[in-house]
Amino acid sequence: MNSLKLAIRGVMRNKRRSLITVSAIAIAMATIVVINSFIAGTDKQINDKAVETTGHLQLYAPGYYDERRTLPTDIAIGHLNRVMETLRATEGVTDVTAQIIFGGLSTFGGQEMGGYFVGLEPEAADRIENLAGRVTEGRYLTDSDADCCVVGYHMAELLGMKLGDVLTVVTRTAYGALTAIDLTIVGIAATMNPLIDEGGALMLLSDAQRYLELPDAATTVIVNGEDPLQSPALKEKVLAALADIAPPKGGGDAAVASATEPAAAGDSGEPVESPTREGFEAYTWQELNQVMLDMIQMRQKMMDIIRAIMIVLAMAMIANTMLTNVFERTREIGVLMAMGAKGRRILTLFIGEAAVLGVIGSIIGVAFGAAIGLFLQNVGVTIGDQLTSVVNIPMDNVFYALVTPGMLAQAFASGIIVSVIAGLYPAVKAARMQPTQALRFL
Amino acid sequence: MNNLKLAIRGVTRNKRRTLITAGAIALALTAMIVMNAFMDGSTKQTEDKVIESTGHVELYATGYYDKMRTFPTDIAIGDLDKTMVEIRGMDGVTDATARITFGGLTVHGNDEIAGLFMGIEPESADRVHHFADQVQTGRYLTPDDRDACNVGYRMAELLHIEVGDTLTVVTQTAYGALTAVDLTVVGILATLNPMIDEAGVLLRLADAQRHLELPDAATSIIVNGEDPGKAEKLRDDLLATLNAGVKPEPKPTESVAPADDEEVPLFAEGAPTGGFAVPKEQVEAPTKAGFEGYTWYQLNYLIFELLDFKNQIMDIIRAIMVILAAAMIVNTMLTNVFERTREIGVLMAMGAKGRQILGIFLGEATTLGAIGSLAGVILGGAFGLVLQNVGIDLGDQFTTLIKIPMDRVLYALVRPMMLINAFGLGLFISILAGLYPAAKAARMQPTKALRYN
Amino acid sequence: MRRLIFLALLIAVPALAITAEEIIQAVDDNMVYDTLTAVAKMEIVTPEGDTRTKLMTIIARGSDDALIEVTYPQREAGTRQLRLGDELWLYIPAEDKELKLTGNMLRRSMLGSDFSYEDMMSRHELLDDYSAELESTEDYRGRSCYVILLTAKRPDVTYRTRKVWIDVKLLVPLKQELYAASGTLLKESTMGGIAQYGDRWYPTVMVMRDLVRGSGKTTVTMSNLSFDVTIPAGTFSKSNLRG
Repeated sequence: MNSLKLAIRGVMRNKRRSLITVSAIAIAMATIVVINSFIAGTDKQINDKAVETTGHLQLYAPGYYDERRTLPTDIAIGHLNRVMETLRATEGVTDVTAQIIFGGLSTFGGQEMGGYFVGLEPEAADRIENLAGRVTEGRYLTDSDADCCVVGYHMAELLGMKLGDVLTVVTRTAYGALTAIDLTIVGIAATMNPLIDEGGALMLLSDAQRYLELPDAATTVIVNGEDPLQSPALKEKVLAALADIAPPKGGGDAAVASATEPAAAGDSGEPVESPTREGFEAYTWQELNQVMLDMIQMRQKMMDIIRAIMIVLAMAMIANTMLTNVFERTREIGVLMAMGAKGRRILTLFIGEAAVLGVIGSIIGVAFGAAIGLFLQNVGVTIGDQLTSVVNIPMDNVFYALVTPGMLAQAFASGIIVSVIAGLYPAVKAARMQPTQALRFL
Repeated sequence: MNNLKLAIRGVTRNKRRTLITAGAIALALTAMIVMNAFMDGSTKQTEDKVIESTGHVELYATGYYDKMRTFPTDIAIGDLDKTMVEIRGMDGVTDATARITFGGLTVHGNDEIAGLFMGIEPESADRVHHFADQVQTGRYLTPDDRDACNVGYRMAELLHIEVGDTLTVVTQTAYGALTAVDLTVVGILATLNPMIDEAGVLLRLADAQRHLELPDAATSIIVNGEDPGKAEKLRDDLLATLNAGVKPEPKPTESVAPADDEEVPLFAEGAPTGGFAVPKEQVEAPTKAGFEGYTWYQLNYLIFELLDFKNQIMDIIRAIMVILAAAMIVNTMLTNVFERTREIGVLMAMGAKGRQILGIFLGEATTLGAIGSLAGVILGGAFGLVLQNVGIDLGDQFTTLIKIPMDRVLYALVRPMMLINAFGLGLFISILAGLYPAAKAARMQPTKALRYN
Repeated sequence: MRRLIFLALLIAVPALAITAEEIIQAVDDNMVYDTLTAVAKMEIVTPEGDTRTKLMTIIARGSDDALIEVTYPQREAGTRQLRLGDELWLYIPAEDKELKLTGNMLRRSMLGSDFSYEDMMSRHELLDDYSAELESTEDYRGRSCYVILLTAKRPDVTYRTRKVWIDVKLLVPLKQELYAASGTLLKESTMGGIAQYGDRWYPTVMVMRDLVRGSGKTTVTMSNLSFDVTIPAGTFSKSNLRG
């Protein structure tokens, strides 16, 4: 207690010197907090975007994952309603939605482009993937929007599409028959998923099921749980729950699909192979976004370099200030010693002062840095909007910072520690000085 | 002169104080310089990489650019050999290479995948794009490699292709006829240009010309000059020379086509037995007269929009850095002067006037600033140069994420101008920082100063 | 012969309703041959308005095997297309290369026309793949025609439904519409140049329009048709691909 009082008095005695020291510490800490918050914000965004794009967990029929690049519609999950019900009843599952993803040709105005199409359940898909907010013109889909679509902004630009125009999608049903789907454009979106923005469209799952002849089926089922980080555990639970779904009766010939088909196998001999398959395979968002997660790692390396440089500088500044602070008071030390203070007392005194300065400086600095960080957390930094044509992964075009209590606490602690350590060396030297030497110091 | 002497003496008198002050300035500048060197290096690398993949200027036949997305082979540059000689002989041209780019299907065993094919002149293409340095397995194409090819490593992975395998390329000739070509894989490339790595197959220009029925023709000519910064002028010069005296091609006489609503007679007059006369059809040649040209900047403007953002971020970081460095310098200077208040008191007691005090301290500030800044620039410059040679590894998966070609090792770049600016900044801030306390010191009451502790 | 019996039935028993299947069966019988040889001219008008002409020779056996060789233009002359049942092979003389068309390649247009290679693989006997329903009888180009709706019996048939206009008297298809599973009209073909060969009437001209591709059309005109001639053994075999 005594030491604390002494330390505070020492600090207050030369206000100017203390002010200079404190401001140095404060600026250093503020900078570190701002940089950290910016890095944390960007990382979180990429992470969140990854989770958002895929959902926590994705389920497919066995064999789909390996073929997914060709967008097959004949490796599908059947008895969809039963599967969805089972999933919704599974503990830990907060949201479930099904989608059919397929490829084909987008034709419009005599031009055609290779396309990527998603049949989805509008509300659920929006909850999980935040799609409604990405519509730039017109509106998002609703459950009553049969034969409507939302198209990617860049394809709309390239082909000159406007709201109300009809996009014709030429593709094949899950059985291989040619089909053409006319969809009225109700919205244009910048989903930040290049596959859609550059040449794709969103439509109702029910439309996709109807046109591709996949009743009560889907190519993908997305499952969300409470915590994205618990996805591996969720995966186990989900697969266990689904294992209990019995295969259809009369299941000797698994080739005959459970749902009604447009034509019976008839007298043409061979049975028609059903596009749906029994069983499931599941992938967590981490597994699905491996490539994106590697990007975070890579970016971290670059930012780490920048951050390291700034930290070194900041800490050097604190050290420099402390050094000067102590060295300039050598005479003062001499006087104290002459008055009978032992080395240890001197040491404690100076360390105490360093600590007090560190605390004050860190508080101010961290507070200031947090204020800037919070500002950047609400007002982001915007970048160009042609982003999806040059980046292969989904990425937002506004970047936000992120301030967490942990980050602030850590900065605060390091500020104090560095101040004390920086003050240590000169304090030790001071303590070991010869009083007469010290007194003569100028 | 007197002032300078006094300043130097003042500085040398308390070596420790000088060391601490100058050292702080030096450190601040070093950090700033290293940071800038990194950012400059990263920007330059990206630019270089982009320029490497496109060359400085690309020339096409008139009308090609608008249809580029579909890689047409019927809008081609004819009289290629003559044109190349003309281009290579022009002032300001350091290199030129011709290329045929076409789309099609790559078939290997049971796997097939859409591919992007490029018929290149191996040697000149290497000088411009440095392909030979980017071979992962096997070897690069040579001018003698008839019907051989190099494939991008990601495509090789997807189709399980190994050196020595045969690929079948299914495509159509410039006249629209379906054709299939067998190529032997002699090498696998990792170019860090995603277009090539993911779906690219390189073959000899001569082979492409033969298989696509485009003799003495190409779909694009890439031209490099001395300075990528002068690409616009290079493009304009090229177009002026090549388009001089070009006459628009006469349209071929229209073949008599049955009118759309002219119905075919329902009945023939007896079973037709005459066979068919060979038609006199004129097919439009795939080569077109006239050239259009684009600089590397125009061809990559989307990439540069992205880089603009990156530069914005870097500017923010640079600004923070300057604030940090300035804070360090100011802090040091302030302390430096304020801690010598007693000393100032003594000087005043000995008869020094305010103005002289100011002069002395300003002089010291300048000297310290100069020493510190010089040290900082030397140290920072040295550090930066080391990092310019030894880079930082950024990891493998980097290139598949971004459509911008980028290297996996990041190198720094030390620009002389940057060093000069840093020195100036350091000196300027030092003087500025020393001004305030020096002014205060000059106005002090000697007695108060002497009593200062 | 079949056709005479059919007509006799028609006259003798006017009240007897004729079923769609019977009509189609009769058409199949009329159109099917043991062998067929002919020369053909294919005129392609592209959506951009350009015209291309190709000449070719055709040798076909039943509805399973066919050998087509291009004789004009010069640069494509010698290109041969051999259909052996379920397989389609191409020979490209410029490359001296044999190529089996699979997957995506089958969907490409044949020689740049409105026919796809896949179209060349379809069978003549429609009743194998489709069930038939007589919709109505209407006039087409002055001829009384049965309008028959064909619906695919299996979900993997390329064109889910077809509509065929069949000349009542001659049992020759005059017009055909090919529909997607969604009901969209994808292709349209009309027949003309009908000539008599012995017992049968056969259209020598066919115009095909690929409506998804745009405003172009392809006209195939045949000449020098011979039915049921003897074809040298080994014509329809892989070893004969190069000729």
